[in-house]
Amino acid sequence: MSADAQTKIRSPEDLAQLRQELQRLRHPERPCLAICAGTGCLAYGVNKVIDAFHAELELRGMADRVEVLATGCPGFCERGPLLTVRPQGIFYQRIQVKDVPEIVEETLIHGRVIDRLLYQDLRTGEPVVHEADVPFYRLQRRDILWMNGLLDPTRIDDYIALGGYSALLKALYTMQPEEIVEAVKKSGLRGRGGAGFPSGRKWAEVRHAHGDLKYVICNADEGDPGAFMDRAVLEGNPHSVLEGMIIGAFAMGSRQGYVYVRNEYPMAVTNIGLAVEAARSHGLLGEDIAGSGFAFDVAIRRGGGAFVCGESSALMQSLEGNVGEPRAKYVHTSEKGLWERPSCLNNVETWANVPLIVNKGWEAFAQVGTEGSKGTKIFSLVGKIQNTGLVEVPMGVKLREIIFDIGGGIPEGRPFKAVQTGGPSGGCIPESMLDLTVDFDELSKAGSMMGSGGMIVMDDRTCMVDLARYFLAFLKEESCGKCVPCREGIARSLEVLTRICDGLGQEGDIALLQELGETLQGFSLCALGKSAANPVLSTIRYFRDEYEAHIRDRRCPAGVCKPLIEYWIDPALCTGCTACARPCPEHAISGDKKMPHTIDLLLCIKCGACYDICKFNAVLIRSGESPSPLPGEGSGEGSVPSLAVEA
Amino acid sequence: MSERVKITIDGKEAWVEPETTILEAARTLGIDVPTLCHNPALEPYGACRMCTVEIVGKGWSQLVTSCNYPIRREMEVLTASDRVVRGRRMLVELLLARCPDAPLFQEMAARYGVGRPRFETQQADLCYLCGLCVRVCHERVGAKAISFVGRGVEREVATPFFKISEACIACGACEFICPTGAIKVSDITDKPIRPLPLEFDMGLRGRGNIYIPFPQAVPNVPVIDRAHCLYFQAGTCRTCEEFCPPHAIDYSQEDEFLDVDVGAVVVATGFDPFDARDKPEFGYGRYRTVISGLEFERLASASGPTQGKIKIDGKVPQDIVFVHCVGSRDKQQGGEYCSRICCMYTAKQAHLAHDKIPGSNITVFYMDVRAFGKGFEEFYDRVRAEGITYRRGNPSEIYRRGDRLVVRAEDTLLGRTVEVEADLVVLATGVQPRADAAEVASMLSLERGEDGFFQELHPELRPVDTKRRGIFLAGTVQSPKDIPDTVAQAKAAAAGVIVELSKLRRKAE
Amino acid sequence: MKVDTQEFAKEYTLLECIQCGRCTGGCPVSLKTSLNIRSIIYECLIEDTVDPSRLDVLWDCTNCLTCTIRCPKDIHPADVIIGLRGYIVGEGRGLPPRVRDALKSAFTRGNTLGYATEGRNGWVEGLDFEVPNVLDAGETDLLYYIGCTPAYDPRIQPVTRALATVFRRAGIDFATMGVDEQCCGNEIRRMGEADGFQGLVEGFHEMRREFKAQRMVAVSPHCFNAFKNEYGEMPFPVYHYTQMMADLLEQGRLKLPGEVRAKVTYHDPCFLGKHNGIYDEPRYILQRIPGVEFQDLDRSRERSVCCEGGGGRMWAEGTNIKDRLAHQRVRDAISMGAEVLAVACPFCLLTLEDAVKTLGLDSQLRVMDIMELVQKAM
Repeated sequence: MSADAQTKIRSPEDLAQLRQELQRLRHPERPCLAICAGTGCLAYGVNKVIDAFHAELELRGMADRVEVLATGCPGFCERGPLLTVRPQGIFYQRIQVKDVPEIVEETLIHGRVIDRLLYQDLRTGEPVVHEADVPFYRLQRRDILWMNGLLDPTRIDDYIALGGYSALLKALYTMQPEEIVEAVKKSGLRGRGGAGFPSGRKWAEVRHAHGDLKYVICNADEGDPGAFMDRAVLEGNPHSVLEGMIIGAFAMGSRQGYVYVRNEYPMAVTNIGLAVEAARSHGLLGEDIAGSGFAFDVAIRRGGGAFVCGESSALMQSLEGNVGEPRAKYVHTSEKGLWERPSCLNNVETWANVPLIVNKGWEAFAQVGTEGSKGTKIFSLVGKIQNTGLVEVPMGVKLREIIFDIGGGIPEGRPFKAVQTGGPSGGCIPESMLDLTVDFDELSKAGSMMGSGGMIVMDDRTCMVDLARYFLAFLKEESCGKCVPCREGIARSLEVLTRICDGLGQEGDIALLQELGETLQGFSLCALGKSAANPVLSTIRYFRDEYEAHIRDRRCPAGVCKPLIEYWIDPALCTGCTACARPCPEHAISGDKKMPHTIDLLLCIKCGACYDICKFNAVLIRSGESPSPLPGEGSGEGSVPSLAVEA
Repeated sequence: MSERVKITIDGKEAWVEPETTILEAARTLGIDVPTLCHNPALEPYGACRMCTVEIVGKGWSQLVTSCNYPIRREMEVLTASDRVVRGRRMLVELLLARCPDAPLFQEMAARYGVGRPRFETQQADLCYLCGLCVRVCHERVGAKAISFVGRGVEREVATPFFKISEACIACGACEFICPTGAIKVSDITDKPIRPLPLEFDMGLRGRGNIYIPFPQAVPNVPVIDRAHCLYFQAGTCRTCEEFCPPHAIDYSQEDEFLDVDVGAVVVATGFDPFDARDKPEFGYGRYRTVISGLEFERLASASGPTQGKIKIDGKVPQDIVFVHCVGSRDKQQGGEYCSRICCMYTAKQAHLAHDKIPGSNITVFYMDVRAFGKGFEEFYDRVRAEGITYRRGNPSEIYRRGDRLVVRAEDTLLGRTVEVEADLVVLATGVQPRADAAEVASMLSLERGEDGFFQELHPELRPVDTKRRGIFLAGTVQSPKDIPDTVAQAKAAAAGVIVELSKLRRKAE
Repeated sequence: MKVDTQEFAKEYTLLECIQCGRCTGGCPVSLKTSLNIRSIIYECLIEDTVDPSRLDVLWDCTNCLTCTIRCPKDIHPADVIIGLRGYIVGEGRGLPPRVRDALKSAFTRGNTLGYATEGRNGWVEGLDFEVPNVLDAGETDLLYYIGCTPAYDPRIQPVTRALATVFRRAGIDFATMGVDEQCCGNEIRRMGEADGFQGLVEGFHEMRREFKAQRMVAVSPHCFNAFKNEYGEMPFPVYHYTQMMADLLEQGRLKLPGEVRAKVTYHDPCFLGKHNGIYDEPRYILQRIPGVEFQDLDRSRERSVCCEGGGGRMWAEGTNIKDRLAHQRVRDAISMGAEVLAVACPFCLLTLEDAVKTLGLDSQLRVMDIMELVQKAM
């Protein structure tokens, strides 16, 4: 039986047989170069690397013996392009085209490890050879992401070979729909899109709702800035999502499903499209799925570029061809959703968890996680962090662990300031609360939320007021404009924050922001508006002093808000090397060679070019009336960063 | 018939059908919840958030919009809790900052104690995106000519690609339903707007397609203007049918033609008022402040377009001139006869104007004062005693000077021409035979006089009979007359009918 | 002088007058003079005799006809004035000297202006074509009647020429009566010379039997009025030039390729408007001229204010020379933003232009005949 041919699966036996065949073809000892070809690594130019490998292997006549596997994103984006040489599991990072011949020669042919391409432990400096030993991966629990580095997302056979679709056949042939719903309920799975609604309850509502025609929908409109978990899953393992949807459709009695994917994810669009095609031709989608008699099909729809269409009712409006605006959900969409019919909308990651629950059983699934939050969660860890990438951990892990152990802490040894969870709908969590665990309810209690999993780490060089302003600017653009509090309230909050960042803040501005926030939370129509105040309110809650510094002292303690800062050259540190004077676009720096230089503040546009280039750390940023520089800088303080907020 | 659900709003209890919204329940209890995007004829939209109320339970509470929250289980609701009121005030403040010129929000600000907004108005707008215009166009009219375009603060109501719309039918529903006057039909389409004047109010105000023709209509029920009704024209809307509690609206009704055998007919088809546009020297139809006697009647009437206040375009006139004999006693226009009623109705109107506008300056230009009836001369005395000036002379022209009118007449008793300035001129338009008099007369084979009024059998002795036995006349169809005389004639005609019918019955026996 | 009022009242059907005052109320000169036609009529009804020679205000009347169109009892107060003037003219005493001269000139020289008879054709100078004489030709399609002022007055001659040019361009076969053309007599009659007027009428009818014409057109509304309404049976229809122009434009026989960019308003001549009900044609023409922004004065059409040029007023100064109606008219035009005040009558043109000059408003307003605007756009 040949792979990827028109092999229709008509029974569990067919699938088992096919799997066996495929596994046989995939010799475990056969050398395989698994290269991440996800969007992130593509941006690094990994396509050229892959081509180089093909060329090199061809040259050496090894092309039929060595597989070059372009996989989905395994998540260690900081170190891309990534290569795992199998079966040894040797892990190379930041590979380039020029490394290709060496890798083939040394590692493939002679079995030798190239040290310079290995990952070095951040604490010890020791090189790590095997992928499994890389702390970033080792400390995760990759129940969902594990397949990403092992298969080619455009090949259904890879997925089947790794055990894919066994959950579907198990569900279709050995379980009743009601049973499946119960299983999901008891598993404790909660929506991974942000709201954390118990998925089993939603499924039960849809199952029991009136009507013959019901829909299942996958929300792949991931819009939070800095979040790319769903992208990685949908790009890297689309079948896992599809399998979850088919199981869900069977459980709820739906014949038609939709994947609503944002148009800005072209690879995800392509790959899910290929997955649907492949599933159809294998009889796993369409009429009489796997010979069970169950019929279900999926259509792919693309978003037009609106964050608000990630909101379930707005998404459904968009699917119907209307303006993407949310509506009141007092009557749940599970009762009246798409075209007023019962609809189950779940996030990409949620769907990807479903085959897991069916395969493992709900008890085993519920073993992982906390009392209120079961299973794992994928986080996109970005910002001021050593190891940028995707981190999958069981619920209940401490934030501190994610950030410092898995994430490797803050670069340049700068002090941790806060972590923003939940994107523009979430809030920030300060250092004092780093022992909080990732748990829906815990994070909400702290004034933030899990959200879809975005985690932005900040150091002392992040201005919290500016951060709030950034998120509000985003939300102002994305607000659909239907309801008054969100449309007007966010715009006005942004005005106040901009004023504060420009040094024009007034007494009473903080109270005004809180008042606007209260109105947003209580009176907005949808979650966009309701959670819009979170960034503002949480930064006020934990970093009120920064607000007050901006307003009362016209000072930005983090040295970010341009109208409030100035660049200054410490004459004690300046060697007069003139390196800074040249890149200055305004020719604002003057000084003779070997003599301390000065910046003409009237010309300086605060671009930071001098700051970046000075090797002696003599260029300082100051803010406020006090002439002393910011913490961690200036002569006499050495290189130990100080967290003290200066007087 | 499903089980009713109990709801307590602000302490008052009500039992409602499931799926009733909190807003509907509140209204039945007489509780006023403010709304800014709600209209009972449209699906609730939930955009303004003003109708937000607080559902309270043991240890929890939830803010919801009452316009679209369906009651499915027992609950307790507060419509003006602290939290609700705080939010409402902020909403008003935000809206006032967006639309400072809208009286709607100025009033709400006063009502909720909201002072000057703490937000700057960058570009004053009148539209606050309530969506009423869009929704009425889509849901009721069916033209779907406008919709929302853009996102967030850039959102606006527009036509596709901002082009003049072909789909718009210029029905005016959007303009009518807009609470702030932000949208105008002329912004959407080039098609001419067809105003529907309320005929009984002499066109001084408009009416809808379903309307009660006049307060004393018999039967006192609305009629549908088929020529303009959206249902009859386009098959859409049907709002009236939906809202009529006893379901009395039946679009399938047709005119009925009845054949009735009768022994007597009373012709009481009335008169038409003289159209003062036939006397262009007075500027009627050109100047908004030159009105006819009937228009003044409607202005002065408590059930009229201004609820009894004498105002034109919102302004109360101070100097008023009445002009007698417009279209009467005239060989050139109107009729050669005297219309009989104008001297007295003008006196009455002058008296009303004087009463309603204290300090006003009222002049009546007359040729004669025919105060012939019972109490008429005394009333004429009273009117002059109130300070209303009667000047003898029939004005020749009215023209404009600045924003006032000038009435040019010769005061014949003074013997010189005067120009009297006025804010309002009322023309005592006369009585004319109806436009269809010839048709009616020929239908009944009746004669008419030279003046066009129906001919009585004998001017002194048989004032209600006609040449045709069994056909009687009553009222102004026969000649101009006022109410007491009309009633007298009507009684006379009725008596004539009784005599005729009893004769016929006796013959039959 | 004593006039028997009983006869007079009967002749002018004054008995039905109810003294409503609409005549005096509408009379444009009643505010600035003591001319009170209602009162005069009343005298005629009440007194046994009246003495017209005591009424110098009689010469203030412009015959604008407002009184007559307003009267609800179909009385013609304007005719009463002409009738009373007739007595004065009959006596030969008490008429304003220039009126006497005009009357004399009309009968001796065929024009009211004192010019030589031979000069009546002088207006053709400047035309690049010959204007045929119908008395020579024997027949024509259109009898073009010039009139005294349009023939002799240098300000009006361009209008006369413009009209001839248009006829030619439109391919209309037209001719005039040359130097044999006599005064139409309209003003003669207005000034009270009834017999003299009759003489002119008979004279014309004699002349017109010498040729055949299909229709007749006049430049001045005064001439038009006389021929149309007071010359008895005419063998052909009589038109004013605005009627013909409107037709030519509508039929496309006259094209206006040029442009006149101006804000234009129009003054209705009494003898065209109130006398003959022609209000729309002049407006039609003006609005067909490309570039013209047309707006009506407030007092227009039936409420137009006379320029004080008719009824013999070109020769009779009147009792109040200080307050001229033409001045108010000019001011009205300027205050509504007009740049051009268009007219369709030579008397209006002269009096209004005079008013502009007297008031020193030359830079703000131009008075132009409709034909002058049409010619600019040709």
